[in-house]
Amino acid sequence: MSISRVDDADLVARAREGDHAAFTALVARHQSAVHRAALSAVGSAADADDVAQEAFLLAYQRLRSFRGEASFKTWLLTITWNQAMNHRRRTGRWWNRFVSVDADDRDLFETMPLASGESTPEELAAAGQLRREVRSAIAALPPKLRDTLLLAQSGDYSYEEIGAMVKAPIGTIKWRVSEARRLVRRQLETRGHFGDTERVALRRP
Amino acid sequence: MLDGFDKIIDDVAREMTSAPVDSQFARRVAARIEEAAPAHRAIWTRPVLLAPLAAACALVIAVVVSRNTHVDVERIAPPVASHQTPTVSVPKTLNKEPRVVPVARASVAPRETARPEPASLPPLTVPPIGVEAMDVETLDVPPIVRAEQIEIDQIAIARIEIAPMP
Repeated sequence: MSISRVDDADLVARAREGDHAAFTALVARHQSAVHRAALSAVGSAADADDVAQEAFLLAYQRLRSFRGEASFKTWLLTITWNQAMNHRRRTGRWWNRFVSVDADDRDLFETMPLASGESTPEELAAAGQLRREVRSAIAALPPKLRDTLLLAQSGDYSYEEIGAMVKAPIGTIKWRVSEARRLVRRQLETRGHFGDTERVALRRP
Repeated sequence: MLDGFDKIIDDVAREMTSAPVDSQFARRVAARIEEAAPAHRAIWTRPVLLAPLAAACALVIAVVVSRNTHVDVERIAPPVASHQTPTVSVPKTLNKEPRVVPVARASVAPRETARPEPASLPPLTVPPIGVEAMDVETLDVPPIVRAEQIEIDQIAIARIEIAPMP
């Protein structure tokens, strides 16, 4: 049987019996979701990699305590989020990575395919500037709103999974996403941006 | 419906959490698990550490158990050496038949059968001592002695000597 067709519960059972290949399959299956969650919390790809590794290692060591009350993915994401919060508390400087747009970030923004060939150089520049300001506004959000917005928009998690990670009910998660969007919008408007004039930033090739 | 800002916000938020995972990530995790496992076993499976640890644990358990047993036996032992059942008796001068009410003993188990765990002992229950009201029709009291006369023995004086006055 191909290991890709085996569900998580079977892989967990095999990993508990010492089957390292089964756990490696679980890692391969969930590494993207774990990495994104870590990145949402710590803001740096390198730190997110470390946090993700720690999370998988911890999950392996605690595999016997997994009771199957939630899905393995939810359980794993909860461990990841706790690890990320510990990392954030240790470093205490995570937000600087979001706020400061250093040279690498600037390159990333300016090389992104933001608009179609019809865009003028001025439109491209305006789109890049808007994205930088959106990024800055998101980074300046209160931590709970920012975390929830980033997790929700990553596309890897359901609201239930986000709620399990950050230990909040689904209604609270929905409110936080909505409130985060509202605060970012207000921040952009105070900087002179208005929705209709910035639609160029949405245009993708 | 999302406006332009909301779409940009969602788009940028997605970008902020999108970084390609290293293709060797799973292999590195597996390597870390392999590294962690032998070290974990090596520390706790060394006989030189296990033997004293086991001995210490056994000693601690023995001390705790013996102390608990000693305390429990003292707690449940009868306070008086007598094993007779104490009774409450009514004097025989009463007309009614005297009742003898047995009183439950404070201790229910002899010293030899004391169980070591106090939690498993049944709760001690002492039934209340009930003495019914006693009806007394008559009391036989001996009459008070009334003295008619007092007899005093005669005083005998053999001789009285009186000295002459100067």
